[in-house]
Amino acid sequence: MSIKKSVKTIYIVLFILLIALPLPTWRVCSALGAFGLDAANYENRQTAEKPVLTRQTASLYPTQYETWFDENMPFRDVLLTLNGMLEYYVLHSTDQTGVLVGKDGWLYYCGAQANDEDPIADYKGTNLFMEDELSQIYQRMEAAKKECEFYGKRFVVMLVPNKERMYSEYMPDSYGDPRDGRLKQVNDFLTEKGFDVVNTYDALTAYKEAHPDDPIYRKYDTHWNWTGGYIAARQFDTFLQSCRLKEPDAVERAELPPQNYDLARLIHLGNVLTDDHETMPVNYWEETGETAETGETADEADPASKLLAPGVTRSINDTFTEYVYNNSSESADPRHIFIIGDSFSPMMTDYIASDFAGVTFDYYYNYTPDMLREYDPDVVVYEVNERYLMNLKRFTLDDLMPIVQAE
Amino acid sequence: MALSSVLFMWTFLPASVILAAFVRRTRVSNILLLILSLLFYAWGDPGHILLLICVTAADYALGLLLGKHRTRGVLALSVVFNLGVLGVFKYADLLLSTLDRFVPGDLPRTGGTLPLGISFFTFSALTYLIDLYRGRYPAEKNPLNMALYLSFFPRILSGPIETYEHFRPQMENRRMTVDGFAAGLRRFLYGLGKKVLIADLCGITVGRIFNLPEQSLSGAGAWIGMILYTLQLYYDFSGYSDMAVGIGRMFGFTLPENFDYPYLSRTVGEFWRRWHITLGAWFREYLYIPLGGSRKGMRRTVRNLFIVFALTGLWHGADWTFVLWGLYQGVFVVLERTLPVGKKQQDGKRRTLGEALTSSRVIGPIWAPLLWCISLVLFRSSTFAEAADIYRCMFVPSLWRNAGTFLPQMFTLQTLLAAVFGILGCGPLAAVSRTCRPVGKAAARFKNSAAEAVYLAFVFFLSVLVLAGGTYQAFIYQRF
Repeated sequence: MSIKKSVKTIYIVLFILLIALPLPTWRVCSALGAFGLDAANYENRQTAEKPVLTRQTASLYPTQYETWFDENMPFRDVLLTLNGMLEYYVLHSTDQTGVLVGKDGWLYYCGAQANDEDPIADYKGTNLFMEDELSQIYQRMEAAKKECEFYGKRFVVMLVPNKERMYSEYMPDSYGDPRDGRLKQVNDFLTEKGFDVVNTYDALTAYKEAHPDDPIYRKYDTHWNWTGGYIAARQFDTFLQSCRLKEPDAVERAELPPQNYDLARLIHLGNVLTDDHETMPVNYWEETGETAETGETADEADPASKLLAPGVTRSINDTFTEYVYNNSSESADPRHIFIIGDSFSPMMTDYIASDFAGVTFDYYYNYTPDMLREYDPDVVVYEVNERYLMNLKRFTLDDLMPIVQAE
Repeated sequence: MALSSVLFMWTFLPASVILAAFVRRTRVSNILLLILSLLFYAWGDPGHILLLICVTAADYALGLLLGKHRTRGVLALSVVFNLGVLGVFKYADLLLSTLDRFVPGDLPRTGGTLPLGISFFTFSALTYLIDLYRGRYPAEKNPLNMALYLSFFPRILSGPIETYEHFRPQMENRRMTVDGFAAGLRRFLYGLGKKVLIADLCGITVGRIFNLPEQSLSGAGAWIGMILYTLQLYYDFSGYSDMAVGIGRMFGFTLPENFDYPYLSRTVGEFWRRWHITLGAWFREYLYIPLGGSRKGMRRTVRNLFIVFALTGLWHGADWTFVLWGLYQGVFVVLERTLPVGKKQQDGKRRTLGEALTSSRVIGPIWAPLLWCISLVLFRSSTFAEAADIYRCMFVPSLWRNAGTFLPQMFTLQTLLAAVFGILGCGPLAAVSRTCRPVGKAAARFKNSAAEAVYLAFVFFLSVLVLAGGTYQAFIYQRF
């Protein structure tokens, strides 16, 4: 059966529009900067460089060029966003490894990286530590504790639950209810062995039950929000019997501007899923009558500038892996806290800093023993999120490089 | 450069079409297509472009020799040369690793990579030489024509395998027309959708399921994984064939069809007449019939069938799992031909299994697809042990654990949609349109209509979205 003339014309037009024109159009548009074409890298990785053809690279050139072309494909940002929107809004699922679309559009992290992280197994309680693994954890924790005690320091383990556990009601029904997993197993095990353990799950759950309309984890992110961090900070400070942070209901809340969330970025909707309005607890410290300088000038338009308590100064290194706080307030607990933690810590250290004379936070992969010697803290805290609990098997204050290398 | 890659669709294809559209003379067009084909091959496999050129030159020379001396000796030399090339580059390591089990010491391995499309271009060369020996045409005098026949870019990577007898007249007399171009683009877009929207999406879930640790794979998971793989394989290969046929059509060529709804087959024998048709035809024409076919008694027929299917398996991959896979097909083809079933008919004979299946309304439609699906475990597995693990999950009832523990993570809505459209599109819709007149009329109206063109534009758009999505590899943190 032959094709009608009008239909043939349609196919010719389709060829021109869909196949022949995209590349030249892209070249022209990007040269002119038209349509505000976005070529930003949202992938948290180094994308491919355009290869240079030489005699030495000739055999690899096609593969390298294809990789470069794929990562710089015409209209890639638009296509990725449309693909993400189609998957998220229409299909309510995503084929991006590592992300799970839950009810009401909540995003969850399935874990796709190295280091054996598996938040879904954590959720289902199917990856409990074996006896020998618990034994390894005990040995590591005991060694850290003894080392701290030798130098007159206290060693505290701080446990942070996964979002899947805290907000299981938005998980797809097919995943069932959360089961006791590694978090409870490690908490019970370390507590029984006499370690100082702050399991933030308890305080977070209590707050969530009392305030069902005030989320403590972010809808499009793996992390807790500032409120979650504040609850955890209060629990921690209370544990060290030095909490002057106000009750959560009594603190002032500052509206935060729309943000870019990690799970949204994973499905290339970082600039689309920004509607999770978040507030930040500010002016949370109990008044002491002191008028010490904060070290940072409060900017009414920037809520983060109102975050630090009076007398607290903060410095962050260039790679955002080390935060150092000093608190000149006379009423501050004179102890110095050193937190070795993960990406949950930065949302709570600003609050903890208001209660202690000094707080240092280092990402666990940035930590070196020299830092511990340099800051000479009174309390050493190892903060670990549920999905990173396997790191306990390799944790050492001597040198955390084994964890990093294992990953 | 896959035909379904964005690089191909947005650079190579439009550039080739536009260049070819400006060339009027067929001979010049052939040279242009040859240059494009060699570029295409060199881009995909720069390390073996010289091999392709050498094989082409050798086959051209062997053709000239056969043209002058049509003897069995020259034919044998031609066959040995092409099978030798295939053997060295594709099967040497299999042979060495097999011998290694029986001889002391460690035999070396070639360690080379498999040249792209080697199975296709050597088989094409063999058809040229064997048919030349049979006197079907004179030897090709123009080496460029010979080179274009072996390297024509739409089909060099995955076929279809075309006879020289079919291709030769098209090199001399063809026209690039608007009609052919539109039909070719239509076919290409269907193929693209089949490959990207069904095969690749099913493939994601297949990969997830079979990457699970052995202890996590349940019976349901294994069955779902294999059903999806059955869809993936069909849509991947038939989609690619559609794209090849479509591109050929755009340039004025008519390439042979490779698939005819194989999942509608009622017997394994029928399946192999509908699946990878050009390969089946090749083995029938150049192996089965020369061996005697079915003309020399049942024992010879059975032997011939086993030889053909063992080699068909080996052609698909250089591993003993493929040979067993081929023999598995052969066993059922033989059973269908020879096994008497049911009561005696009026003529006093009992029907064969194949005849019974052909007329069966219940078992017939599921027999061949089910056996095919089960056989693909061998096709997909790299070792017998891996295949055995999957078979255990599929057939040992005690392993049919609750699949709910992992399937939701594996089975996204995208996969579900791809599977539903895949199942409908691999035969049932076609069968309904043949038997139900209103559906058949509607399908006929839709074919080649403006609505179909718009639908295909949408398919293209979705395909590009999915292809773009596949290039996005975001990491939650940039660590270390």
